[in-house]
Amino acid sequence: MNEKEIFEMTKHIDDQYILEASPSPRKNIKLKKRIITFGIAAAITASLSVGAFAAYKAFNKESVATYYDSSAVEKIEQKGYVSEEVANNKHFDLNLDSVMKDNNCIMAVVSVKGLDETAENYIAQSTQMCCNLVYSDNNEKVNGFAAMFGWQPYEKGKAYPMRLCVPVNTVMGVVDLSRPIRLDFIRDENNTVAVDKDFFKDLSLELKDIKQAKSDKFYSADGKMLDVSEFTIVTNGDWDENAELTADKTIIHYKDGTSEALDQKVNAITNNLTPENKSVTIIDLKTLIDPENIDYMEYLGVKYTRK
Amino acid sequence: MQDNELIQLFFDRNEQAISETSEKYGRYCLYIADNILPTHEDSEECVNDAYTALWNTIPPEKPESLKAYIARIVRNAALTMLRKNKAKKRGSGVLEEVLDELKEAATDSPESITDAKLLSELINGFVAGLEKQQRVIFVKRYWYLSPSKQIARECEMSVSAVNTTLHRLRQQLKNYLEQEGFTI
Repeated sequence: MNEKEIFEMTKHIDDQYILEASPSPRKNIKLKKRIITFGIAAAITASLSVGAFAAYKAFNKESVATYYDSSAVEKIEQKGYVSEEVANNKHFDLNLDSVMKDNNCIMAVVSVKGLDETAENYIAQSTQMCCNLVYSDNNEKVNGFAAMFGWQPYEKGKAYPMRLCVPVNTVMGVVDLSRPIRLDFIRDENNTVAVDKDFFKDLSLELKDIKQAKSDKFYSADGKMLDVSEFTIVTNGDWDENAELTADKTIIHYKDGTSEALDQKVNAITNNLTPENKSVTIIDLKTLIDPENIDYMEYLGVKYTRK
Repeated sequence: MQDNELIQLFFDRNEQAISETSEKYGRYCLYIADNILPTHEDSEECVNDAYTALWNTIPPEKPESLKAYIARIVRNAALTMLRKNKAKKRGSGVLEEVLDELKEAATDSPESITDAKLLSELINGFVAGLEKQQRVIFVKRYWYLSPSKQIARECEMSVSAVNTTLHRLRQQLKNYLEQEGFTI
């Protein structure tokens, strides 16, 4: 079978796999400049914050440890980047385990549990949950998007840890982090599991009183800037948008003379367009760093220092 | 608008079906066409052709997934347009790239399969056996013809990790085809 025949064979790939691999607008996808409408699906107006009914729940270390190393999990607990917010309806049980924000995004870990077979099949198929964002103080639509998904295999009967990222500066607009935000969950249109129209009814999660992580800015000799927080490193938007997304040669040099390479300590590297249509790279760390202790940074072999 | 309502508009021969489809799936269609065709103008023309094809085929067709159905139409239309453009020496180069990569998975079998059912079983047997992330990367590259950088962004991976995964997948595909008897 030659390459042309193999390529012809790909046209027979099943619908379910085509849909599975289709781009999701709610994922952290870099948008082509000409596609700037990036609409969020129809808003679900019905919402219910169940945070008020939340009983005390213990910090779910196991869930958070899916995305952070052991030292980071300890710091997340010590610094209070934990939450007691929960959301549920008759199909799903959601627990906000950790949440923190910096100048560029909100980052959280949410445990999702399917309460019936349909919900379990739904989670297992797409391993992501879609939502609309609203400011919960007045139900105004947020000009932004959220991505919440997990890469690890889903195990039935267990809570499934998903990572939630809400970028602040996107081509859709700027998210006002001083206001409380609510995630209203909606159906993922790529998910083919048959569900009734009330499947996501009342499934809303509040993001409020989120603690601000420490951050600092570092500059190269040619004026490029890195915004370094406890959990992300973000370029300033003056980068080549086609640059390879990599954390190679990202090294922190601490004031005490020690250094730490970050290439193996990364959850994800994504690329977003800012409201000004500039390309930024977000390196999302699986460890927590202290920007105040940094003497200087190296990124792609270039030195960055404080001004 | 739900897909079943959209399909009903086609069945009712209501021209609103096209505008509603464009609103719901226009961006997705352009995503597919843009991966294949050299210019956005070509993509827009291709997507418009796809809407016409949709109008002409529904009814009698009543697809289970309208999204997958229109995706197939756009991909076919874009590949057809690309081949015509290539004849005019105006190709995007993506097809050559993909075919070049798939040489790694080619087997020595002189057999040529034309049975659509068998081809479908073969390729779906392969992708069904992959881990989800591998499968998504494979389909993005060889069905959507997405470049590695785009896949890396969408899958939150580095480009080198995507390329390594694709290389391994081609080897796996070659082994799979050989196991299925496509060798001398």
